[in-house]
Amino acid sequence: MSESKTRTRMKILASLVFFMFAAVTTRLWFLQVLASDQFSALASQNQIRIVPLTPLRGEIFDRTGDLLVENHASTVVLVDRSELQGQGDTVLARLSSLLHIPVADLASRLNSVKYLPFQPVPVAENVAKADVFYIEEHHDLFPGVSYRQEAVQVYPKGTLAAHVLGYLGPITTAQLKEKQFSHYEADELVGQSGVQSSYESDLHGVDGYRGVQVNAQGKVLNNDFGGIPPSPGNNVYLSIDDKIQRMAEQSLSLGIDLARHTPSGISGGTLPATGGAVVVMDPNNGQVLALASNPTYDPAIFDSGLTPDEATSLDLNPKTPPSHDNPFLDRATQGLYPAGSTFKPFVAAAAMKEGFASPTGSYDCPAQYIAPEDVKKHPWHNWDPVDRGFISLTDALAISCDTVFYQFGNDFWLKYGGGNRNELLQQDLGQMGFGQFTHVDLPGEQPGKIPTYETLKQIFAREHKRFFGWEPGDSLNLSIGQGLLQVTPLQMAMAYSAIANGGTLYAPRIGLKVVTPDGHLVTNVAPQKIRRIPLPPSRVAFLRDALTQVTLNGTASFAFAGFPLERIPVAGKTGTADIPPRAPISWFAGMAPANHPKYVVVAMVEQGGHGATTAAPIVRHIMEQLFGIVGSKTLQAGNVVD
Amino acid sequence: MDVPFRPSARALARERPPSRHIDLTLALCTGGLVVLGILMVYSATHRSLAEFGQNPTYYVRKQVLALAIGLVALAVATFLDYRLFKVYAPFLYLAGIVLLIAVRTPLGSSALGAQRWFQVPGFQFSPSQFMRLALIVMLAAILSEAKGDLALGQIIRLTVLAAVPIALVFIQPDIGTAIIMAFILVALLVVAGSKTRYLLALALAAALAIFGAFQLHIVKDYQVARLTSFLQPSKDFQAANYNKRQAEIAVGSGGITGRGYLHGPQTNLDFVPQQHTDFIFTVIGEEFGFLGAVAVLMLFLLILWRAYRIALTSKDPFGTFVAVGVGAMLAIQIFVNVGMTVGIMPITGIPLPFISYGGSALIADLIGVGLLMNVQMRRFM
Repeated sequence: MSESKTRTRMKILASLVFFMFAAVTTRLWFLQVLASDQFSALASQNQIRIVPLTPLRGEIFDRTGDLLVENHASTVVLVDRSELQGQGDTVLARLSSLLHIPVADLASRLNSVKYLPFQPVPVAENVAKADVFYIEEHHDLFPGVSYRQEAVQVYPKGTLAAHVLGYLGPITTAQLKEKQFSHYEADELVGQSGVQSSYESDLHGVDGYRGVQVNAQGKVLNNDFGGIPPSPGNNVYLSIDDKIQRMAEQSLSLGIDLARHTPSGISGGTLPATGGAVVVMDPNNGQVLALASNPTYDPAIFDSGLTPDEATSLDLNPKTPPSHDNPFLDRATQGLYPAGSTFKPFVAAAAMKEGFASPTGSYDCPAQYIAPEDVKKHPWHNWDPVDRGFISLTDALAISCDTVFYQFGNDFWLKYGGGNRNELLQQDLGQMGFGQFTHVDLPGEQPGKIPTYETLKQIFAREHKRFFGWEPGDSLNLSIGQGLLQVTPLQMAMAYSAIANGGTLYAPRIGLKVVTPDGHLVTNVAPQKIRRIPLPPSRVAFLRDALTQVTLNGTASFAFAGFPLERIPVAGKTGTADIPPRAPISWFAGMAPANHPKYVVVAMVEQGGHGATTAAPIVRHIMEQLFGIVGSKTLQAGNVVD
Repeated sequence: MDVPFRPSARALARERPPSRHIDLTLALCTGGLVVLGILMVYSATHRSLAEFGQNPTYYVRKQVLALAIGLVALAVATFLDYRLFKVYAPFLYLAGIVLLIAVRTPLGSSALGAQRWFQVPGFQFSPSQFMRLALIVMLAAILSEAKGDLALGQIIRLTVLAAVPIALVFIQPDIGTAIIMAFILVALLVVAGSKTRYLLALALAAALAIFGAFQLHIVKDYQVARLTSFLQPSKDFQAANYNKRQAEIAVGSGGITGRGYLHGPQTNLDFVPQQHTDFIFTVIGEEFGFLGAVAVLMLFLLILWRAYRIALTSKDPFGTFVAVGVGAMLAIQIFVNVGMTVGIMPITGIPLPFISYGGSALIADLIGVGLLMNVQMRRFM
């Protein structure tokens, strides 16, 4: 064996070893220098489990500072799955009989995937003190069972303003995908309706978290491994005045009761009065002082999820047909109804704008009207079978003469005809806020609809009927607020507020201000002007003056008999919207004091009969209380006029 | 004029006792690594021992005991003239084979799905660790008598000699030690001078043998899973890949300077399996960072460099082959162990020399160092 050959072979071997070390070192360089940050992050993930901490939700106050939604301490019972010692079934059975909760409910909550294996799982809220003491005293019977105080939101005034306040519910899978909820945890409670939903981002606060250090076996080594405490949500003050809200709800409820004892005239029975709404608004800034919808519900019912019976009672159970008049629907912002004659002031405003009507003009009020261009010569009747002769525009509004407005409707139709297709009436009504969102700070608002050529065409196409175009009758119907017109009570309140304040449309506002938990102002919800309605202030003032005649000697004079109108003049308008074969929708929209309105009050009762029968007495009853008038303690039925 | 007699340096060296020629670099590097090993075993085990209510120095004390025995063994291996081993090589080899067979009988004890040990009071004695040394001595003894390039017959004879213990450890199963021994064989054949085509034929035969082992299910499923998870990392997230992943995270999170001794969270929280034995390099990587890991590799490289020098300066071919064998034995262990820790080699149970917890391996590796020193200090005799 030659020395040099061995040396060469040794060098080959040494190079191989050197190459091995170079390879390992290069890899170390990659892991520890180039990719170190990534691996450090992975190392943290390895050992830190993040436990989300839910912030204390903000409370909701009325404009005077009365609590509408407040946080209460609730005793929550928790079960630590790792400490059940194999007695899970027995322990759950004991808990079930103690807390009167079915074992299946407890078990399904205990098996929630939301919690990490080492996290105690809440299985029952609002547990009575006595039950907690029992668990404490018999700890050997309840291994792994513990309790703690948690904040839950309660509604101290019960169902008051339920539709305004809304309810909380676990975040849905669909919501979790939305950008607004991107930082939310699954199962977190969020506002699902009302102010709870529209002011969710203010009320919710900022989630915190706590780090929990675990080892490879998942054993907790450090329960407080850094983290960020949650910051509580802000408090929201509403423009709602809880006293006015209560009046509005009570008056609405009394009015509905009354209607249900009033003969219907159609079927021979009494009026069904399936529901209704009241809006009280400050016309000078759009602030909503009361917003009532009847029937209502208890927002606390959603606290721990709905039982099937509760869902049925809210008409939310898909397995049972709706039979409770849908208490969940906010009729003030989501209910859609033809406006009936409460619409006439806006048609009059449009007619004045287009030159078809003037404050000084006089207009024929026959018992029936036939549009000259109508080939079918269909007679259109006034609600009142008496020929009133020529009357002023003021009187036409006061006695709600349909035939005068039919003529305005025909004038609009003539503008439309001849191939012009000028939908002037629709455009003017749109300028007054109809057929559009009011942009109230409540979720789920409906925009309603002003029928146009296009909407009519779509409806005919959907029903596979031959479409003859926008006919005179369509304009006539719209001129008295009937037919396919759909408005919400809130839109009416907004539009009447514009008449009350000289012509400015304010977006309705439910929120007043947002403040931090320690009282510092975050945001003031400023009044928002949408636009001026297309009518000069003098003409708006004329309309308001004309509407005072309605209560003095017009359609609502009976309903307002005995009301001190000389001291507190009330401008208003009745409305009776027909959706045959059902009983008509009863409307009244009023403002007071008419010379300088502080309040606009709109009442609507489904199948409540004529405007003067049910809605006008409701508004009167509310105004009596608003102005401290010692009047009738009970609500009295009006008469059967439009 | 009298020219005074000036003895050559070599002659002077020959006159000093061999112990004066102890290789200091080798001694210091080995000493540094065994001390580091004790520290690392403590870091890797104290926290989880305390978790389970055990004495946190339990493993360290056992390792210190093994180290003491190992140092005695190193001294013996250093001061007995290495040429004696050449004489007794067949006995050592046969003794090793007998022990490897005996460990398969009820005399041996098994753990973690393998039967590798004799339970002796205090600790477990693993004959395969010592078989590596016996194989080195046996092959070196034969090769030192060979003249010129190896003939095919010689290569086959050497291969069969190596294949017997390789097969015996392979079925334990201890694939790691089998790899070490195979590498020792290859390294010695290369240095002794084998034709490339013979080596290729040998590789082919080995491949066929391994394939056969898989087909006959001699290799356990978990071992197959570990190996295939390395080859197909996309089949990820399973237990087989967990080791590799956690090791990379631990090493990678160490960064350049590390988290500090006893401050590696991955280590302390037990995320890396077998971190005091096969995966102890993750503790070094996490706690001492890139700089520390490279420093440790440099110590190993110094030892290997010494083995290289000792092989070249050896007085006789037997010394050369022993040094090459020990160097190859250490090199393949370091490469496969660190390689699997950083994810460039499949996971096989090979400990890191001098550092991993494990008495038999530590003692065997120290004896290897003793042999190197032995050859080194007798290079003039």
